[in-house]
Amino acid sequence: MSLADIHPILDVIHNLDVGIIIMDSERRIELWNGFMANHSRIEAEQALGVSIYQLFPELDPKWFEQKVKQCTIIQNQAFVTWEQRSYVLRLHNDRPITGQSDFMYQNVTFLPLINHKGEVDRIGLIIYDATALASARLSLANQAHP
Amino acid sequence: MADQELILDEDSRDLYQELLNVAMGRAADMLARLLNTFIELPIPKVNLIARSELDMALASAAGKKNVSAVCQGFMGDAISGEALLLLTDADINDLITLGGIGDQDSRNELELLMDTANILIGACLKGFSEQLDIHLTQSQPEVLGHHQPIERLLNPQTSWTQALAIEIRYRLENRAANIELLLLFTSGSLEIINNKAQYLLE
Repeated sequence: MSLADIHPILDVIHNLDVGIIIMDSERRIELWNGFMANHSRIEAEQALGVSIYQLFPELDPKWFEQKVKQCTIIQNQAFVTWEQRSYVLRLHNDRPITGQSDFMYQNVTFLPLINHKGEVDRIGLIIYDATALASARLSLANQAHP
Repeated sequence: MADQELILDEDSRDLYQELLNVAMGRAADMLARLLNTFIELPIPKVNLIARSELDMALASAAGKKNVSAVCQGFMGDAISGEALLLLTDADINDLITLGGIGDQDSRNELELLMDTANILIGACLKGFSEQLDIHLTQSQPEVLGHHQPIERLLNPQTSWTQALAIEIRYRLENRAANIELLLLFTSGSLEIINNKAQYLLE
């Protein structure tokens, strides 16, 4: 694949309506797409090279590292749903005016990224906005048990 | 295709069994490293099942106790299916004492359930897909029944009639927990798996 071919791919990644992050083994940001910049209000230039724990001080390292370890050892994706934890990274909601919540509910996939030696040396995060689903489910539950 | 009655001959059964044995061997090693506990290597049971049989298998697996289940779809290279992990409430209580999974501080049961599913389903599918040299995409896992009677676990709306079921029963050293993992493959997947596996045998 030539350099010219990579440009449209990067363009798509930056315009995806899904958060994409790549971190090195020290959890420093290597890729921070447009969705992440817009919803965290941290621009890519400020995020690149910075530890995820520095960008999100309320992120519990013990919890996060356990998820990373799971997907590193098994070399398979690990999943976190909004039902078990409303969000992994606190991000702003898509609908600041008519939305039902202050933050974005998330489904998050932890992706082990394997280098040419067959070792996991990077972790990818894919962040899906689950706010619409969560709001609908929670309001149904509230109607059933007022 | 869907209406045609499938038959599982001895050779195919042995083939699936062997594929799963190797997958489980790899999975057990990863699990032991992650959980710091010894996992008894279960022998997977391979069967073709009809829908009604799945209902019965689920019911017998859980006895009369309340059960939680996580299901996760997977597909790739024209192979598709679902993984179903079943735990009784007693198993969950037992797992809470285990290190390496869940949220030890809050003892969040849902977190524990999801972690167990990530690990057991992930390790097994990884081993399986590596041998066949296929790449499987996994869907977001879904919690089907949390403290619900097992009858509610199956949605009667779907149209399948027959599936290949691989049943794996995990036991952890010194613990009563008995966790059941069911891998269900659609009938259309079997021919593809057979073709892919031929390369392994040659």
